[in-house]
Amino acid sequence: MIFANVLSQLPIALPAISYKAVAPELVLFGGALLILLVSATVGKRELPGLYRAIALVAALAEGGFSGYQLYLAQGAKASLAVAGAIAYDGFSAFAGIVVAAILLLAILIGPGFIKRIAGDGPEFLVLMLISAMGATVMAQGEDLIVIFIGLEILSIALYVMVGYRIGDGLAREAAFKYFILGGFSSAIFLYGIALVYGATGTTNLAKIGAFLALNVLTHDGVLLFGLALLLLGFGFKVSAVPFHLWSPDVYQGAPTSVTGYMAAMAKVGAFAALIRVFDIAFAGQIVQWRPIVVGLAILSMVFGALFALRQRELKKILAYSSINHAGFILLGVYAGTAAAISNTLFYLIAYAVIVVGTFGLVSIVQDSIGVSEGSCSLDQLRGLARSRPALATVTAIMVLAQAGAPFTTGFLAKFSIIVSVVEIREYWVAVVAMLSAAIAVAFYLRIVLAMFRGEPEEVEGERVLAIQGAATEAPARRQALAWIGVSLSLVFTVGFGIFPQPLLDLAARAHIVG
Amino acid sequence: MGYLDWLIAVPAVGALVVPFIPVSEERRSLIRGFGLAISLVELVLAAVVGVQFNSHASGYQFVTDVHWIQSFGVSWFLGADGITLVLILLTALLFVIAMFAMKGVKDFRAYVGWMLLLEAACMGSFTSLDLFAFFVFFELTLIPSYFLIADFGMGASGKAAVKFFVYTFAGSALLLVGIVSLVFIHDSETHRLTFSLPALMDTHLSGTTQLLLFLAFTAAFAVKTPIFPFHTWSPDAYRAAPIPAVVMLAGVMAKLGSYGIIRFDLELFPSTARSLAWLMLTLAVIGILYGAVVAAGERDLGRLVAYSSLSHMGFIVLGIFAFSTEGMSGSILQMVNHGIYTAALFLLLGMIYERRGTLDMAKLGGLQKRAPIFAAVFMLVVMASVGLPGLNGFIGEFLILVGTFITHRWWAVVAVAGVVASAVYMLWAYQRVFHRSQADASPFGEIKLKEALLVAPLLALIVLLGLYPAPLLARIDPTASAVVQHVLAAKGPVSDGASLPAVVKGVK
Amino acid sequence: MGAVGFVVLFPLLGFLVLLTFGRRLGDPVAGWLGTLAVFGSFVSAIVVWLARLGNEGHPYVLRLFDWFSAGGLHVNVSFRVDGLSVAMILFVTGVATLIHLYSIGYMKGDPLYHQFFVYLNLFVFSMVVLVTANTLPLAFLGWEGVGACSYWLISFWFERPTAASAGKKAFIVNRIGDTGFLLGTFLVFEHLGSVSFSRLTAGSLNLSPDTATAIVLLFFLAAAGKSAQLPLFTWLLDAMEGPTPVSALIHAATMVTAGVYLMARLSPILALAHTADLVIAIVGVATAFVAAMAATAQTDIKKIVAYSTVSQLGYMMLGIGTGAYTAAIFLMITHAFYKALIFLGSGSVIHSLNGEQNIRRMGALKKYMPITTVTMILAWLSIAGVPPFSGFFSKGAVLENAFGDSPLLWAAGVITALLTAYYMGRLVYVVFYGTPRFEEVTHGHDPHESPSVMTIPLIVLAAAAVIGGLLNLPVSGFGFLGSWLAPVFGTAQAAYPMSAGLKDGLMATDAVVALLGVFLSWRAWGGVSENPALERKIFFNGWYIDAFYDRAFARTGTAVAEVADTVVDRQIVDGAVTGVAGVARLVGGAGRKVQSGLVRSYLLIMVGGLIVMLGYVLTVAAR
Repeated sequence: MIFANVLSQLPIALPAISYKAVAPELVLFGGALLILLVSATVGKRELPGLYRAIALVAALAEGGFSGYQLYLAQGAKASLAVAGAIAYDGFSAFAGIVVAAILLLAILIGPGFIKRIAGDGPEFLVLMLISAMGATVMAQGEDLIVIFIGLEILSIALYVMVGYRIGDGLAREAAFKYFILGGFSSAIFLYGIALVYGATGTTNLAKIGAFLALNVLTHDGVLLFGLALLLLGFGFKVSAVPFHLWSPDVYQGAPTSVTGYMAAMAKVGAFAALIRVFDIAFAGQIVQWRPIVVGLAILSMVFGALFALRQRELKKILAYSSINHAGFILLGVYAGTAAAISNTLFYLIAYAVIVVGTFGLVSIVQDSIGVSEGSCSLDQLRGLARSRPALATVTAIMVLAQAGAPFTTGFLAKFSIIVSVVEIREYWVAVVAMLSAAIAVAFYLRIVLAMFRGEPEEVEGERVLAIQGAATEAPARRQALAWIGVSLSLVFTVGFGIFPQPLLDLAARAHIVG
Repeated sequence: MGYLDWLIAVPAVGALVVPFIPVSEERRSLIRGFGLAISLVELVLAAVVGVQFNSHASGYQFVTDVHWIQSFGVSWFLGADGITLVLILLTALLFVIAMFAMKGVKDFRAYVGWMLLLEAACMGSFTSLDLFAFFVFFELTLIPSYFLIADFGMGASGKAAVKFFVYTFAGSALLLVGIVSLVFIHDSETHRLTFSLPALMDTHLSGTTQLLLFLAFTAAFAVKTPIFPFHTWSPDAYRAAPIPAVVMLAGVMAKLGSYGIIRFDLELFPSTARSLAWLMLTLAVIGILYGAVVAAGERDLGRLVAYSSLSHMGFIVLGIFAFSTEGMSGSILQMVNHGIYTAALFLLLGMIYERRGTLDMAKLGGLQKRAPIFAAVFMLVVMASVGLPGLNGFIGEFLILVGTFITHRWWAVVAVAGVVASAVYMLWAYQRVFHRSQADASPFGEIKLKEALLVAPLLALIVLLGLYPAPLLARIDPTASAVVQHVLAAKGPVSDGASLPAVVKGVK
Repeated sequence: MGAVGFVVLFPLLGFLVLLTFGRRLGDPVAGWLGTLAVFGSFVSAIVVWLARLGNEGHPYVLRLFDWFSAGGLHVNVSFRVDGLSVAMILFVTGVATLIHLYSIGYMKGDPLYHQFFVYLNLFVFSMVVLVTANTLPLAFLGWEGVGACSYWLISFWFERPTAASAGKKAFIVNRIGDTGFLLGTFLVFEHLGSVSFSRLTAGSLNLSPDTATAIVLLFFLAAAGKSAQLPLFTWLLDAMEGPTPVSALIHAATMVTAGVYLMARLSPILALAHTADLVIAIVGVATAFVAAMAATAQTDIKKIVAYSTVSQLGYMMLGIGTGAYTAAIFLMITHAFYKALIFLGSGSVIHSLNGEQNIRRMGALKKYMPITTVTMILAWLSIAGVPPFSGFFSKGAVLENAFGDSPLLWAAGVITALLTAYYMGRLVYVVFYGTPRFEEVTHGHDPHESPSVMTIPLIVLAAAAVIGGLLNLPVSGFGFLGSWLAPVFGTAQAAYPMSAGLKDGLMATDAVVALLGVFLSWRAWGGVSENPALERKIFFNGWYIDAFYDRAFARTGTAVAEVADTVVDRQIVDGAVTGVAGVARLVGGAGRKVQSGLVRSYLLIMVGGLIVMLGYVLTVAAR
C-alpha cells in the first residue's frame, strides 16, 4: 500500500490502520468518487458506459479483496483492525463476496432501466456503490456504533434509490414512507445501543462479549431492553414481521431493478450485523433472545406466506416472499451454531442472487411490455409464455427457485436452514418452517400460472403488442446487458443448486471472530 | 457410469437439449421424434437392466456410490432391487407411450421437455438410495407435472395443478424434516453424517421418535399414493390434466408413494410400521371401499377413474402392511399392473374426449354400436381393472388379499368387498357409456390404427401378465421376502399389551 | 389322458380365430367354425373318457406351467382328470356342441353373429377350465370367466337397457358370491398351505370342524351366486334377456351348475362340516320350493323355464347338502338334457313367433310345430319325474337321500316335485294346446317349424332326456355313474341304510306325485289360458324378492354413492382441505387490510411489536 507508506512518512501522527482490512470499503468508496470525478470533468456529456465500467471494476475489486481476505482468514487467525472497531475475518469476507455478487448483477441489470427514468447520469451507480459500502461496513462492524454508521450509509443511499422515479406518486410515497419508518427504527436502534452501553460500558462487540463472560449482571433489564430495541432495528431492516409493513409498499413503489438490489443488499448488511451482534457478542444471552428471534422468524415465515396469497400485485407478492425468506434466515440466526452461521451465509448468497435475478427479470418483463418500473400486476404477465417463452421460462425457474425447487440453490438454502434447526433439535420449528414454505408455494405458483396459462385479453393484447413493437428498438442493448446479469444469476442458482459443494466450502470458511 | 446413472442422465440431458433444438414451428414433429428416441433409448436401457438383473439376489444391484455434497454427507447413491426394477420398467414403458400420445398438444417443445424431465425425476426417485437424493428427485417430479397439468390441461387445470402441487408439497415438507431429523439422530449416535439408506437403517430410535418420524415420512407418501383421506387432489388433477400427464400421474407417480412406503417407511421404521399396521390397514380398507362408493356415484369418467385408483391403491397399501411375502409381492406386482391398466384406461378416455369433447357419462352412450372394436378394447381394460382372472389385475389383487388374509384376516374380509364394488362402478360406467342406444346422434369414429398401436403394448401386457407374471414375480419375490423379514425381525419398542394391534392379534 | 389339453385348447383356438377373423368369416362360417371347435373339444373329451376306462382309481394331472407364485403360495396351471371332471367335460362339451349347432340357425341374420360365437367359445373354454382345473385359483379363472361371458351374452343386445342392466346385474351378483370363493381359497391356503385340489383331498382330514364349516359356507356363498340359490338367485331371471341359446347353454345346462360342481369337488371338506351341509340342504330345498311357486304364475315363457331352473338347482343343492353327490351330479346331467331341451324348444317357439315370449299370445302351436311340441312334451315328462324318463331316476335319487337325512327335507322336496310337474304342464298346455292367440304377433302368417339345424339338437336332446336315466339306474350293476364317481367322492358320499321296501315306496311316491302333477295341470290348464286364481300376484312377482333388493340395495346404494360423491367427498373430505386453504386466504385477505398504506398505523404496529418484545423481556427473560 503505497498510499499508506506515504501517509506514514508525513509528520502528522495517524492511527495505524490496516488498509487491507478496510480495502473493500475503500474500493467501493473510491469507485464512487471516481465516477463522480469523471462525470464532473467531462462536462455535459455523460459517459454511461464508462461509469458502468468503473462501477463494475469496483465491484469486482471489492469481490477480489473479499476473496483474498477469505483466503487469508483461512490461513491466519482472523483479527480485528482499526482499533478493534472493524472485524477482519472469514465471515466479513464472505459477506463481502455476497455484496460483490449483488453489486455485479445489479450493475448489469439496473442502470439500463433506470436510464429511461433518469437519463445517463452517474448518480445511480454512485448511490449503489455507496450503499454497498454501507453493507460491507455493517458486515465488518465490530462496534455497535460502526454498525450504526454502516446502517445509515446503506439506508440513506437506499432511500434515495427508492425515490428515483420521482415523478411517480407511488414512488414518492414509498420513498417517504421508507425514510420516515427507517428513521424511526434507526432512532430506536440507536437507543438500543445506548442501553447496551449503559449495561456493559462499551459498544465494542468483543469487549461486550468479554464483559458479559466475566460479569454476571445483577440487573440485566437494561441490557435486555437494549437487545430488544436492537432487534427492532435489525428486524425493520430485514423486514421481519411485525416490522415489515414498509416493505410491500416500498417494493411496489421503488423502481423494479432497485427493489431487487435493495432486497438483497439490505438483507446482507443487516443479517451480517445481526449475526455478529447476537451470535457473538450476546452469545451468552442466547437463552433470553432466542425466543424473540424465533418468534419473529415464525411470524415472518407464516405471515409472509399467508399475506401474499391474496395479492394481485407482483412486486408486493415478492415483498411478502422476501419476508418469508427473512423468517428462514432468522432461523439460522436463531440456531446460532457455527454450522448454522455458515448455512445462513449460504442462504444469504443464494437468496441475494435469486432475488436480484428475479427482479431483474421483472424489469425485463416490464420493459418489454413497455410499462414503467413501478407496480406490476399479475394480469400484466398474462400470456407471457406465449409471447416470450424464454423470458417466461427463466422467470419461472427463478420464481420456483425462490419457492425452493430442487436442484436450485433455493432448495439447498432452505434445506441447510432446516438442517441447522434440526441440529439444535427444534423439530417443530422446522415443521412450521416447511409448512410455511408449502403455503408459499401457492403464491409462487400463481405467478407462474399467470405467465403460462393466461391468454392476453384481446383488446388489451393488441395494445400491449403495439407498445412492445415501439419499445423493442432502443432497449435491445440495455436488455442485452440485463440478460447477461440475469443469466449469471440463473447459472449461479442452478449450477450451485446441482453442485453446491464449492459454495458450501466457501461458506464453511467464513469463521467469525469470537 | 452405471446403467442407473444413464437411466437418469439420458432423459435429463434430453430435457436440457430440447429447448435448444433449432427447429422451426413447421417441423416441430422432429422434436417429438427426439422425445420418442430418448424415451426408447431409456426403455432399452431399462430392459438391459432387467435382463442383467440377478433375480435370485435380494440386495441392491448396479450400485453407484460417489460423494455429492460432502458438507451434508450427501452421496450420489443409486441401486436397484426387485421393487426398483419393475418400477423402472413400468416407468420407461409408460413414458414411451406418453411420448406417442401427444395428440392435442400444441407446444411440442415444452411437452417433450417437461416429459423428459419428469422421466428423469421418476427414475431418480426410484433408484436413489440416498435420502437427500431421493427427496430432491421426489420433489423435482412436482415441477414438470405441474406444468404438464397446468399448461396443457382442459378446463380448470390451473387450479387443479396448484392444488396438486401445494398438497403434495405440504406432505413433502414433513418428509424433509423427518429425513433431516433422522440423519442428525444417526449423526449423534455414530458421528457419521450420512443420508445413505442402508446406514440409516441402523439408527437406534426410541419408540416416540420412531413414531413421529414414521408419521412424517408417511405424510408425504400418503398424499402421493394417495391414501384416504389425503386423496382429494387426485380427482381434480386427473379430471383436469391432459391425458398423457394423467397417464404419468396415475401410472407412475402414484407409485412413488407406495414405493416410498416400502423403501423408507418399512426399511427405516420397521417396528413402528408393525405397531401402526392396524392404522394403515384400516385406512387402506376405508380407501378401497370409500373410493369404490364415491366412484359409483361419480358422473365424470375422469374423476371416476381417479376414485377407482384410490380404491386400487388402497389394495396396494393393504398388501404392504399385511407383512407377508404374498401380500408384499402382490402389492409390488399390483403397482405395475395398476400402472398398466390405468394408463390404458386414461388413453382410452382421451380418445373418447377427443371424439366427443366430454367425459360426462350422461352425455355419452351407445358407443359400442358405433365402435365395437373400441368398445371391446375398453371392455378388456375394464375387466383387467376389476380383476378378472386371466388379466393382470387379478394376480396382484389375489396375492394382496391372500397375503392379508393369513396375517390380518378381518381386514382382508372387509377388503374383499372392494372386489364386488369395483365391478359395480366399472360395469355401471361401461353400461352408461357404451350400452344403451345412442344418446348423441353425432358419429363416433372407430379406433384408428395409430390409436390401436398406442394401446396395443398395454393390452398385450394386460393379457401376458395375467397369464404369465412369473418373470416379474421371480424378481419381486426375493426382495419382497427380504423386506417382510426385515419388518418382522425388527426388535423395536414393544407396544403395550392393551393396544389395538395386540387385541387384533388375539383375534387371529 | 393328456387329451384333456385338447379339450381346453379347441374352444380357446376357436375363440382366438373367431376373435381375429370372425368378422370376415361372417354368417354362417363363423358359426360352423365355433361349433367345430366345441365339437373337437367334445371328441377329445370322449378320448379322455375312453383312455380313462378301466383306469378310474387315480386322478391324472396335466401340469402345464407355473402361473404365479409368491412366498409360500404356488399356483400352477394344471388340469385334473378324474371321474368328476370327465363326467363334467363330457356333458358340458356335448350339450355345448348341440347348442352351438342350434345357434347357427337361431342367430342367423344378427348383425353381431360372429361375436356371439366368440363369446360362446370363450364360455366353453372357461367352463372346461373351471371343471378340469386342479387348483382353486385356476378354477376361479374359469369361474369368473364364465361369469364374464355370461355378462357379455346377457347384454348381447346391449341397446336394450334391460339387457344391459341384466348382464351387469348377473356379473355383480355373481361377484358377491365370488368373494366367498376368494375367502374360501384363502382359508384353504392358510390351513393347508396349498390351493391345489390334490392337496385338498389329501389334507382335508387335518382340518378342524369349525374351519371346515367356514370353508364350506364360504364356498357355498360362491355356489349360491353361480347356481342361483336363495338369496342370490334373482339375477338368473333377468338373465333371460340374453338370446335363448345362451339361456339354454349357460343359464340352464352348464354354468349355473358350476356351483354344484364346486361343492361336489369339495366333498372331502363337506364331509367334515355337518352344520354347513344342513345349511346347504335347507337353502337348496327352500330355493327349489320358492322358485317352483313363482314358476306357477309366470306368463313369460322364458321366465317359467328360468324359475324352473332355479328350482332344479335347488334340488341339486339338496343332494349336495345331504351328501348325495352322485345323485346331485346325476340330476345335473339329466337336467342339462331336458332343461336345454326346454329352452331350445322355447327358443324355437319364440323364433317362430318373431320374438314373442308371452304365453298368453301363444296357444295351439302343436299343429304348426310338431317336432318342437313332441320334444317339449318329452322334456316336460322328464322334468316332472314321470317314470321311466330320466328325471324320474335322478330326482328320485336326490329325494331318497334327502329322506335318509331328514324326512322334512324330503317332504318339501316332494311338494316341489308336484309343483314342477304342474307348472311345466301349464306351460305345455297353454303354449301348444288351446286356442291360437298369436295373430297379432305373426300378422296373419302361420307359425312355422324351425329349420333342421335347430330341430336336430331338439331331437338329440329329447332322446337324451328320455333315456338319460340309463346313466345311473338304481339297480345294482347298472349304476354306471355311481361307480364312475365313486373314487372321487369315496367316503364323503353319504350312505343311508334303507330297506329295499322303503326305497321302493319312495320311488312309488315320486311316480305318483309326478303323475298327480301332470293330472292337475291338465285339469287346470287344458283349454284355459288365463286363471287369476292360480296366478297370484305375489308369485308372479317372485315373492317380491327382487323388488326388495332393488329398493334395499340398488336404490339405496345409488343414493349413498351419490351422496358420498357430491357431499361427503367434495364437501367434507375435500372441504377440510379447501377449508384450510380458505382460512389461509382469509388471513391473506386480512393482510391486505393491515397493509393500509398509512405510516401512522405501520408505526403503531411496529410499536406494538416492540411492546410485546419488551413485555416478554420483562416477564420471562428477566427472571
